[in-house]
Amino acid sequence: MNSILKIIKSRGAIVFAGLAISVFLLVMTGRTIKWEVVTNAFKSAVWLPWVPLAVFTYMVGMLLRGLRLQQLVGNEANLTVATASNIIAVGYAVNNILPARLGEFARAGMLAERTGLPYALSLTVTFLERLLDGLTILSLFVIASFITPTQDWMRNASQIAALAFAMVIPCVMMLALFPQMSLSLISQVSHPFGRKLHHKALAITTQVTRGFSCLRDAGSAMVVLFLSFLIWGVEGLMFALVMPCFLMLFSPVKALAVMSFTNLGILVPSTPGYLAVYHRCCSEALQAVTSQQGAGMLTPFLPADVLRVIMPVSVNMVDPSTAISYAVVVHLIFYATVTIWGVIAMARYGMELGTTAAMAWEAKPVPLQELEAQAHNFALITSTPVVKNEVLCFKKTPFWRSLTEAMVLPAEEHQLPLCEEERARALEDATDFLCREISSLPPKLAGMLKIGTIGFRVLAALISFNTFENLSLKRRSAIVNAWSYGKVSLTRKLFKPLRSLALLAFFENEAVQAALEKAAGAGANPPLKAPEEGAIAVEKSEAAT
Amino acid sequence: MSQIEKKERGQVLIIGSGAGGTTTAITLAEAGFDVVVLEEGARHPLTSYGQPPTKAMNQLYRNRGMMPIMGSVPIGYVEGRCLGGSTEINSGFWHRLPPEFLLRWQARFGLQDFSLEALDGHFAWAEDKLKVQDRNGDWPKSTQVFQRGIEAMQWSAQEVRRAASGCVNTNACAAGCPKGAKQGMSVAMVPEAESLGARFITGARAKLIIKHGNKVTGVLADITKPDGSSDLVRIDADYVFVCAGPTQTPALLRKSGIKEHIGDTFQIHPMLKVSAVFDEDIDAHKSVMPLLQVKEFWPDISLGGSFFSVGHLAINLADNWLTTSDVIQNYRRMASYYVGVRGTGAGTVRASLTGDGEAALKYELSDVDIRHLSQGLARLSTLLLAAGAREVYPCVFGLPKITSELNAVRWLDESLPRSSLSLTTVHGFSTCPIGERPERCAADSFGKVHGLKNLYLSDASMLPDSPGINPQGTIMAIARRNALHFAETHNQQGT
Repeated sequence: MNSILKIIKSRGAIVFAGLAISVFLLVMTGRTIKWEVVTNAFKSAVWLPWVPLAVFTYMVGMLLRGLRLQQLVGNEANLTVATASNIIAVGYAVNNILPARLGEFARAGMLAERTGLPYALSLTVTFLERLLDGLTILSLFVIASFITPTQDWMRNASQIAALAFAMVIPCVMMLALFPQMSLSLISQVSHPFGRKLHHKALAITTQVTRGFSCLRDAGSAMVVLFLSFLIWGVEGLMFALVMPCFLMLFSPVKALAVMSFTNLGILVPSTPGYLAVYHRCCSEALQAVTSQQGAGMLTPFLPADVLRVIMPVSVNMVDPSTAISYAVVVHLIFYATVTIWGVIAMARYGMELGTTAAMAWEAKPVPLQELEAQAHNFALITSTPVVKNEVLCFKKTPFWRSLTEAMVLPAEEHQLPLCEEERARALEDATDFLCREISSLPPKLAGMLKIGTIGFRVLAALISFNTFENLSLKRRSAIVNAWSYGKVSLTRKLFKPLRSLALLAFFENEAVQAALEKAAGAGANPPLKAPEEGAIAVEKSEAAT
Repeated sequence: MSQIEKKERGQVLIIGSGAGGTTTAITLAEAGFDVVVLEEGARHPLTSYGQPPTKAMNQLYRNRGMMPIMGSVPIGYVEGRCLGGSTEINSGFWHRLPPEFLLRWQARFGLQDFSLEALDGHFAWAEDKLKVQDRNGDWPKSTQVFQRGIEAMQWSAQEVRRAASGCVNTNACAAGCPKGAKQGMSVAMVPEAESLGARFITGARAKLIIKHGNKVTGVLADITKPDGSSDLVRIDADYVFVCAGPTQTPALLRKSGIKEHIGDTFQIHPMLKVSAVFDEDIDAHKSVMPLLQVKEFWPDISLGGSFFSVGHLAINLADNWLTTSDVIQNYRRMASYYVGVRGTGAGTVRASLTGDGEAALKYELSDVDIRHLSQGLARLSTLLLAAGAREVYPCVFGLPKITSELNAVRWLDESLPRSSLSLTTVHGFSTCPIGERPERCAADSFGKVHGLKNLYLSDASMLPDSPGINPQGTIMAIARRNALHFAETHNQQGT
């Protein structure tokens, strides 16, 4: 209890502002509602099978959120999807019980506690999730607005949100992609304000850039982005599944617009469980999207049949009382589901609500003053945990295995006396070495190499009607040799380092060297061939240019 | 980390423990300064040295050996990242700076107090520390055949002295000498510096130099702890010496906002390798690399021996693998050599904008470099064929092998096509040239960075220009000279 009071005390202004907004909206909403109509709406509602389906859909969404969190901290910690989902559920549950989105802090605290990550880093990950959510919701709202007519005031509200995100995104990208530059910049800016502030600014920058590190790899950034869209697509489906309860036609597009607007509204800290704010946003959005027929900006471009499928014409404007009933049910589904889930998770981890929320404060780093008192010439600014899972930007996949094989194996007539197992192991080791080495390239070169290999794979697939790794060794060798030894200098430059690294590892392998020794001992050295002259004629023309 | 826990005051902070950093550390510790050395790499015991190249690259090399220099001809470049820096992975070859270069540098860069006599004592000091000497005993076979070729061509050559007393031919120079014969900095000099009170903190990566006005007030560094986690620390020091090497020193300075004449004049010794097959067994994979260098065409062109292993032979053959893959079975009868040229092209080192500001290296070969490489290939091939080589395999795409002198001398008059060259280098320098010419120098004659009161340089980056020889001796001698000058100037003896 003390912990909760501590949080409320230290975040007093936000808490009271949230409560004030909620009271105001409750009053405003209550004045416009005809309560007898609400009662009738509930009486005539069809609950089955829509509500259980909506609950199930929401739970799927929670698991997807867990999957995304797992991806976001994948480099830093080993977290199962179940634990990650539980952490999110605990955060949401605390949000449902405490005001001002204090659950976010509890969630960061629990993430720190479960993974051993510094609290600041956990908070950064949580912030990144929120940012991704905001961006995804905004994108979905824009997409939905193209398809379904929306009111001007909704678009205006979204534009304000878009403006806020537009200001945040460059900062995030700067911190994610240019960590060293960010550190230098922050150091320069904060240095004149004294040592303490300078250190604090550097510590926060360090943790934040580390938290955003998952965005540096294009692949993992794409996965996270895809998961974000999936999460909110599923959330939209949950909104759509509640529509038939109140005799509205099942319309995922309109539901998506309602979901987007509602969730944009609750991004601002407010009451526990977003009470009133959620209901107001949801009911207004539902009325707005059902107030006009048609398919928004797409109407002139789509045939009538298609329009009827994506935008059922019989969705008429929902009256305010039905809209509020709809909002109450949608809210209840998410509120009850996540609160029960969160409470069970807290119980499972043996924690009380207050303890979980208080983690946010307990996990703060040691005050700098203590360290500085020990030695003024050597000051610890912040600590970052070990990167648990080394992330290679070139992962050892069947493609790289098959490429290595195609690059290193000598021509058939010069095959080494290696047994199948030795050969396979040598190739495996060579592939592993190759992937590690090229992953160590400076980021710019690694990026260029990635683009080059993607181009190679695409072209190889186009000319062979099959993926490179599924081709025969002979075919693969032919393609690789055409790229490695063709007339195009760029493709030769692409393959030179790859082949060199693969050859180095393959021929440094003990079994391969033993096979070479054996071949030499057996007098298998091939006779030296007659001189070849003028083989460089092709390159002469390049020299001339 | 125990060193951190001590939290002692560091009056002189040295970034980097290679040839320049360790020499500076010993000299200043002797002079009574409180010295702390930050080394990004780890401290490795001798027992962990001598691993196969693929493992050593991961253990001892920066970026696992992946630091290509970009340009119209990408050039493979490696440097060490461990206690002792690149001295742990080089061949221990030792040269004194030739008088010709000493005079050229004086003339071009206005170096003060830079005479042969002034440097002589410093070279002698370093040679004594590293037990530099001529080889005792027989030459390895790869050197013998090279000598045969030199005699046949009647060219001038010299046996290179090495900082490797007691070498027993493990052929592990590039993977750290497991016998401790090669005198990398970690063998004797780092322990000596430690006995004088210097503290070496390994796993410490300098991220930023913090300035206030024209004074450096501290350094931000990431210190990796044994469990893999890391601490961002600020280390305050009265004086900071940046000795992080030719690529990392300019990168660190530039990302710290110190940019005047920093990283604008990157120089290298481009090298073209060849492998030759003889009728007799050479067993180059079991012996130290060839120890003779042809000086007939120096300083523009040098010919010498290259590190050999079966894997490296495969790399040398990779340019024409379709026609040369069978040759690898003759590896016992093969050895590798190089043509090295004194680069006259232009290069830069910049801190990347993205990521952690890694050094981005660029170098554009000049037409003169290409001519020298072509002529060097012609001469080296002629020498090897005269020595009895049946075939010579250059790292040149489209030129699988040279089998006759007539084939070889063609390249005396013709230039190899740029796009067909596969070049490497292990010598980088001149990214922060010292001297008294403010229009081209980053620091004064004794390494003090222009415009800053207490920031100094002391590594390969300070060499004003390409020296045309293995630079370790020159780096150590100048670092010793500069550190002594610093100690005298700051009157700290015996404190």
